[in-house]
Amino acid sequence: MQRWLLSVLSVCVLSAPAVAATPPWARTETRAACANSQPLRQAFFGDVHIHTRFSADAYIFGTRVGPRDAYDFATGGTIAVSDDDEQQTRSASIDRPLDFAAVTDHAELFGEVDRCITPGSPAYEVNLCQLLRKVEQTADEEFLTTVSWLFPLGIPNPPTGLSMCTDTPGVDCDAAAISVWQEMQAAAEQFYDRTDACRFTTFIGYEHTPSPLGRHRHRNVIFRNQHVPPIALSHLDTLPGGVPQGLWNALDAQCLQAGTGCDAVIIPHNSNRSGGEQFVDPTDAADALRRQTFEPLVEIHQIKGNSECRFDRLAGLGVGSTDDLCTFEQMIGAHEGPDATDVGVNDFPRRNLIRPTLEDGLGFEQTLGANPFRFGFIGGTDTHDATAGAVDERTWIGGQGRNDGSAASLIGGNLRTNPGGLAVVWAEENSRDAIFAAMKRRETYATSGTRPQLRFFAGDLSDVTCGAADFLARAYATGVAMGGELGPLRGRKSPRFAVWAMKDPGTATAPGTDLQRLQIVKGWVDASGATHEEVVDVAGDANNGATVDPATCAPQGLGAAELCTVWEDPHFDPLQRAFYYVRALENPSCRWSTRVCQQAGVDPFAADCAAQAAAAPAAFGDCCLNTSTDRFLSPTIQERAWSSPIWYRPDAVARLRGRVGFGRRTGRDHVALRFQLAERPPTWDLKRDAFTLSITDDDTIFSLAVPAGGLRRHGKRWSYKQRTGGRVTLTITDRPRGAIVALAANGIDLSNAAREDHPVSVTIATGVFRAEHNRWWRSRGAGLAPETK
Amino acid sequence: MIRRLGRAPLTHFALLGALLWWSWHPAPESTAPASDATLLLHSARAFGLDHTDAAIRHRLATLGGFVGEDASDRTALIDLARRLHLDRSDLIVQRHLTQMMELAAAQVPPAEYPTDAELTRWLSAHAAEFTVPARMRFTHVYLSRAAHGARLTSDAATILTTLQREHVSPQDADLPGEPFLSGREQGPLTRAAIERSFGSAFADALERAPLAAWFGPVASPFGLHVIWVSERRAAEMPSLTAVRGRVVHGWLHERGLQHAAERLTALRAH
Repeated sequence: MQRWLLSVLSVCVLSAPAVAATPPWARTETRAACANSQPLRQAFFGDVHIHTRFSADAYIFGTRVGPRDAYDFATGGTIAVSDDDEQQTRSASIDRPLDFAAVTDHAELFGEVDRCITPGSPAYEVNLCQLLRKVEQTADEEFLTTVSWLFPLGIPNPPTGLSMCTDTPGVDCDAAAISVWQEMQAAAEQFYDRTDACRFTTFIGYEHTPSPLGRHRHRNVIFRNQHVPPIALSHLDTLPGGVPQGLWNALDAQCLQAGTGCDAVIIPHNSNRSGGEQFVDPTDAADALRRQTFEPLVEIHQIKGNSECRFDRLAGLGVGSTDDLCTFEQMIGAHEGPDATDVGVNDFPRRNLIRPTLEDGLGFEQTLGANPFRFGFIGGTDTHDATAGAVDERTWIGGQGRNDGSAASLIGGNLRTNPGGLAVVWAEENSRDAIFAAMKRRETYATSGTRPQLRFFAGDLSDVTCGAADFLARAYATGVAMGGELGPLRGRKSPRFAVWAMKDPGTATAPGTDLQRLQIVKGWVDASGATHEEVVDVAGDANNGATVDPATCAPQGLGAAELCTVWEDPHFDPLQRAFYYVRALENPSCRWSTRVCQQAGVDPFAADCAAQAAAAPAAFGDCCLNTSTDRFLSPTIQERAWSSPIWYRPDAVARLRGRVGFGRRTGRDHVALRFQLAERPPTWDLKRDAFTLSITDDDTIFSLAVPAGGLRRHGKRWSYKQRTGGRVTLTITDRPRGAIVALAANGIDLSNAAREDHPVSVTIATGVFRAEHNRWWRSRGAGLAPETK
Repeated sequence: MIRRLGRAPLTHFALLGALLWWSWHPAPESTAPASDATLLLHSARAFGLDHTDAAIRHRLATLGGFVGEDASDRTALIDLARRLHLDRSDLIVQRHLTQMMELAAAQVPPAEYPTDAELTRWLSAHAAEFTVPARMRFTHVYLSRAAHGARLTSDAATILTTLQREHVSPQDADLPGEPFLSGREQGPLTRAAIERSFGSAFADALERAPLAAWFGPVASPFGLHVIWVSERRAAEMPSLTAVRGRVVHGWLHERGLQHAAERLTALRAH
């Protein structure tokens, strides 16, 4: 072949995909598209774990502000915060507004007056409800004024003729209006920017809060849009179905299958306080798959501690780990309550921690065929002051009302709490649909409160280079982003892992801290089922000498404004299930408590700290704890970010080749696909189970559903032919270890496909086995095709 | 430690004995004017909400179960809790009753629903809250401090001169510089959003940047940037249609607060 022709072909193959506009999600809301939309996605910072006075505990703590105040705070407003005496004498604000937020008050004890207006409900015939219904005819009855207050908006005769009831997103006049749940929805709508400016996004959500004997099995429920169940399903409602299965069942019935456009994600959190009960063993493969589906994310960091991992520096031991950076923001007890005693590393529940839980998830996938613990990561505050996103170590005044009502209370009672973290999503635009889609695909990361930007990809990535202008486009075309899954590559070589981080720019008065290094954390399970982990520094310098000025807490020494690397795993085994995530570390900075103690005259850095503490009020006695005297605390910390993991599965879709071709007339399109499963999934039973294959972007481009028993066996080959709506042939050929799947479909309608470069997913499902291949496909001639890497 | 224990839910139950003692020896009636919360609480009880609301019943059953012998009879547990006056003393019960009445007090009767004209007036009165600040769309050529080191300033000056002299289009695929993590094309972004991503000095400089011309270099915490501002959008007031949901809920909330104040005043007068 002529050299010039080779050159032209190589340019065609290797050039970056043109930037397109079709995102991999459908718009489900009435709203303007965002003017600022980036197909290669942008980072949005938020907090989806916020409590206000509607949470019983927050109210007890003295918090008197509600959801509207929380959203106002998140967008830069100032709100009142309780002092030690429950007086609202303090105030707080943040200097960097959030991009998105969700108030998640505890659903327990929200109240159920709204059921009074629902014929057939248990409460319908009680006296209160009868009074409610007849109030219009009883103008002079006793308690008239009070009763009339309880008359909700438009009930029982919704004024549907009013435009606000029919045209306004978020205004549902068919629902009862007097309930905390309705107030939370109204607050979310009042602060959601539906214009093309897309300045702030709210999500309707709540917390589901079972705490048997102080073991937190808490979960936040975040809804995609304004279509939500009529009541917030608390654990009181779902307890008979079990924890968390009762919640899954209820959400399935009242949201996902309700036919209302409702969708939701469930986010477990605070597992570090769960006494090992947050992530229990799945009952079976179906249970594991349900958890993976309902719970795509986990909150890895919040006010009440970090849940990634745990290391006791004085004992020199970790919980299944030798990672000494796991001393970060640890609480003492393994659960809450009067019986929560100090637990040593050897007795600390493994499932309180997310890294070992992810490792166990690989083991379940190996034995059951489904991974119950396939979590992406976010951070949150869990503030009970409504102070959404108040995560700055420099200005934090606590997050638990009067419990943190003064410096003395904060240091004396809650020294081991911290400001909490942020949730970051990679989304095309700042809207509910875009952010929710990012949450579902786990393209999210957590920070401990600062705002570094972090990208993470894995795959072939053979032409992805740090410093190249087409880094992102090539990475999306030839690999998967954080949160995705990956199958074997050609030659069974190690995937390449591309990591790119930029420091938090900070503000004019508080510049961001330089990055120190990037680490890749790998967990894997071997053939015997034993789990392992490894932490590798892949960029930056752990010994860059940076520290803080003990007098001012100002940073001393330099780090990096950005770090980028492409790494291969030297110990990669193509037969071992593994996950990889990035931990990005900043240079040291002062912990919040250091500043508060210094202001109280007790300097944790001072040689005579103990003497200073002796002269100060007793509450400040623990200010001098440091790395020599405490297992976890230190006057300085390293703020950090955790990418969602990327999962390597030997039985994931690999080496996919394909093409979607558009004919000249409707119904004359065709599709051809061929890919490998290098390992046959453990639950694979083509004779017994149905088999589905779908190709999707923002719509379903093509879908094939083979009923159970529909595949016919011919030796090592299984086939299915469909002659309605075109000619479709699916063949699955057994190989010694895995299988090859091939699809040919002609004379079909693929008009749902966007005809431009854009993200496309190929998904297969049979029994409890699921596999997904997500890449950018390129528009080529009259068709679409993925890169063949 | 004491405060941590105080926060723990189990502690609340452990303190039940104290509550029981308190409920048998109630504090004398205060002669001070009742607070709003007290008025709402009394109203809720007068209305019987403490007997009918499912959440209250659940709470009382839980409290009753703590001291009751037969945990299977929910009604008996609730009755036991009431005999022990826990429906009067439990803070969570009080909070719930108060909040339900508070919400009820702020309800706007359907007859008062706003017309579009009223909503338009309300939107005008809250223009500052709804006005979208000026936004700009720009392309930036990024020179990282790490890549250019000591040559950073001179390299940036050279690139700026070259881009200007050769009239290089911002859409040119071969623009010099390093890739930027959030991309080369930015916006349209408000000043606040630019400041959050690039720092305040950068945002200040962009305010002065000319339209459709290469400008800079501009410093950020990451390095230097040569800028092309392709679009400036003036601050704009959205139409009522674009922000109807926010306006309706803002209006209802504001009117609801008025109603709540009026109803409390009326109640106080009784």
